[in-house]
Amino acid sequence: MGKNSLKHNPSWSVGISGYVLLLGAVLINILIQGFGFFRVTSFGSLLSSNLPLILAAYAQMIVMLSGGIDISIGNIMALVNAVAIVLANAYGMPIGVSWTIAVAIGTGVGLLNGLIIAYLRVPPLLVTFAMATFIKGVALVVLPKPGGTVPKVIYRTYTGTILGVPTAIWLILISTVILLLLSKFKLSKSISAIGSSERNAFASGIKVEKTKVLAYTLGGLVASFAGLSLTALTASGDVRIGGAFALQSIAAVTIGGTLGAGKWSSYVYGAISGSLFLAVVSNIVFFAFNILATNYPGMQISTYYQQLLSNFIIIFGLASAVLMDRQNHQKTGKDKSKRGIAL
Amino acid sequence: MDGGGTHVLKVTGLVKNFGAVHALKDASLSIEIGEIRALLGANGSGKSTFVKVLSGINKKDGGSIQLEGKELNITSPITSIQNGIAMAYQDLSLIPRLSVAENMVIGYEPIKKNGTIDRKSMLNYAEKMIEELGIRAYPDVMTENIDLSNKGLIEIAKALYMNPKLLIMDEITASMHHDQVERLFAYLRKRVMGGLSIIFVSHRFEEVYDFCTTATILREGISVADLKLLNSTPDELVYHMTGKKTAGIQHENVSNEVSDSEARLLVDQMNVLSFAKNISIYVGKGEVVGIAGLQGQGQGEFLRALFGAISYNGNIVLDGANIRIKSPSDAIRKGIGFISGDREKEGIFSTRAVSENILITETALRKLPIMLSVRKEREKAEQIMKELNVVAAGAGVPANSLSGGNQQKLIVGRWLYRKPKVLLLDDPTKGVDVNSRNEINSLLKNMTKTGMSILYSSSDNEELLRVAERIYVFYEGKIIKELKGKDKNSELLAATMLGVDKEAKDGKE
Repeated sequence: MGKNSLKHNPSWSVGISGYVLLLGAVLINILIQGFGFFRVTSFGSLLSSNLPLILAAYAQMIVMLSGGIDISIGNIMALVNAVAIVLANAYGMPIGVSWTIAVAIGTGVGLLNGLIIAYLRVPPLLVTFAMATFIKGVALVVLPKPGGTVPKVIYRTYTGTILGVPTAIWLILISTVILLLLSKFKLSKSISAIGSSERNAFASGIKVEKTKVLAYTLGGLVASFAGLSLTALTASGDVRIGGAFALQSIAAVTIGGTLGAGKWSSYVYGAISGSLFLAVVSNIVFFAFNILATNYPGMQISTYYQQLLSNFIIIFGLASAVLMDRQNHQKTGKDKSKRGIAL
Repeated sequence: MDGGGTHVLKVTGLVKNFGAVHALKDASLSIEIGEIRALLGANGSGKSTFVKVLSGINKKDGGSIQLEGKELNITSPITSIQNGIAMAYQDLSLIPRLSVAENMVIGYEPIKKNGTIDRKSMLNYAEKMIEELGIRAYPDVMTENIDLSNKGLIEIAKALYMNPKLLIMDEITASMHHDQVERLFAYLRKRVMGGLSIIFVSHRFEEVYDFCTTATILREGISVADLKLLNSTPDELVYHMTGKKTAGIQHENVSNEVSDSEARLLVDQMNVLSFAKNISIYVGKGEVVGIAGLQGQGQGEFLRALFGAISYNGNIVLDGANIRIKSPSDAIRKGIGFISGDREKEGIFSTRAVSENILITETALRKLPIMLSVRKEREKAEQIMKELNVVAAGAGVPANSLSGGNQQKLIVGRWLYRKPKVLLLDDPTKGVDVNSRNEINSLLKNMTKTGMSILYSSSDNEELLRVAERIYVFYEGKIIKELKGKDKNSELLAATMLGVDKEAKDGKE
């Protein structure tokens, strides 16, 4: 049994795996790319192209904190993308209206997920997986072929700068602050409680079902914004690009470290550092292959190798995040029973 | 008892069934404003079920619950909490991932006008309670980093947050130190003066006499006595709890062959983490040795350490050879078997076939991945099923289609096949019907005839007295007494288990 640690609040250690990995990745990136990494244009484009992932990770974080998982996040993004594009392009709706409707639909999918999971008690993995397949079908009906466009001003602003600072940074700041502010509300405690121990939360008088529904709905809402930022980034509609975000968001949250216990805010920082790690890794791999191509002209490397290498690094990141979390647990003496044998 | 409108809670004829098990048959209890009432009973008497019905975890199947004269239909913990019934759970209801202060107010956080949590008033409450109860923790520390005794105090601070009319304490003091308990009682007495009523569940008689004025005693789901503690002796309480007079000792079924045979298993000064200290036991060849104790006195951990599931230090001698047990598979290879009463968690593979469930120890220990012959397995399994008299549609049906008793027989069958030198049993007949229970016990008895030794832990004292030749009694992680011969009777056993037996508590024998 661990000693009563009065002095230290080890919750800082929760997001630490994300920070460590991110720092390492950034250092390697600087080695490869030089300090050009920090130029507004390259840094800005790195962030703007990865904002959808960051937001997806935030959505996933909320759901995972509640003890669940959402496989449909990527396809919610795709559906939002398709609806936003089609309503504006084919029906001539103003951007504001079409995007609002798209967000409402994406949030509705989250709500539906939550209702099925909380009240019918179907495992979240199954529900959201089925939902992912279902809404992908819906998205394909809405937008069968890639196409459409968004007004120039939107994607210009999105990839550009405001007051000399990349727009993506502003958006990251705003979303992070909003998410951090959530921790001041009762809902965040209830979500943490059901994710930490559903039985104890029930015994404490928390409305477990309602909280679950809210967590998935909130996840759907944030995922919808991820879908909008994807729309602004690609400036068109394409149902196929969303799918990969579900697993990437889970990877980002895991690398950030959700397995331990900690404050809401440390999970937020964990999620963002985890997704930035993924972003920087693909950046590194891209530049590394670039260097190879410029130094050895005529050498042909398929982009598959890029994916192969970056995903290999991600597996390494996941493994080390899980190991770091486990060590934290052993330090606090929580791992009393060997091999999870019930006592 | 005395009527009138001063009752805060009046429970009459409470009934609760879990499937075929009747946990509560006819339980009644009433408590007045400002009263501290003990709820007593042996293991399995229904105390925990009773308080869990009041707290809304379990739904009642019958009977009435009146709060301040009005019928209260408790559908969930929310009903109880909002009507002023607060519960401090034995196994705690704290959220590991939240801070101490957050836990104290969880679900009912003070809210500011702008909708956010009023952190200041939350911290105020936490600091006040930390001060009052002497909790060794800071409000902002994550609860998972707090030790068990202080967690218990936090659980009480949490229960008191909504200013309840009735506080139920379910064996919450079991993990606390003496001075912590003293301080807690002093504080609660103040609250009682202010109108709080308390239902106090505990196995520690000193605490009960110190803290409570009245007692309700449950036996087999029925409330059998309502006493004033001032004029009842501990012996009377034990009498009501066990239903046995101290005088009329039945000696007829003291076990037969008291073997002074060669040693099979010797454990010398074994420590198991913080659960069990200095455990030394002796088991002879073919002997059945009992282990008694209230729940959570370290006996479960001790058995699991012997089976290699928890790390330990100390010496184990099996058949004259010093051994070190590294893991359950190591234990099985060395000839030690284990049967848990918690079938769901530690026993049965409920969706797998009956035959697989019987032969699992065999298949798991094969060194080479040799092909398994389904037909041969079935045949072997069917033979064992016949020996065990298992009632099942066939060897191929999933184990969860069998009754609890028959499932447990499958687990016994594993060892019938394996023939270990020592079989460890942790409450093996928990939730098993009487017939299967007798069958299992006579089967085990037969197995000892071939020289197998048994270490038998049970929460059922009568069963233990019947099957075991000697009984070691665990209390707070130590063996406080070994009962054999004349001393092996239900009164002395019950008293020793409760720590009432002063002489035993002062030192081993």
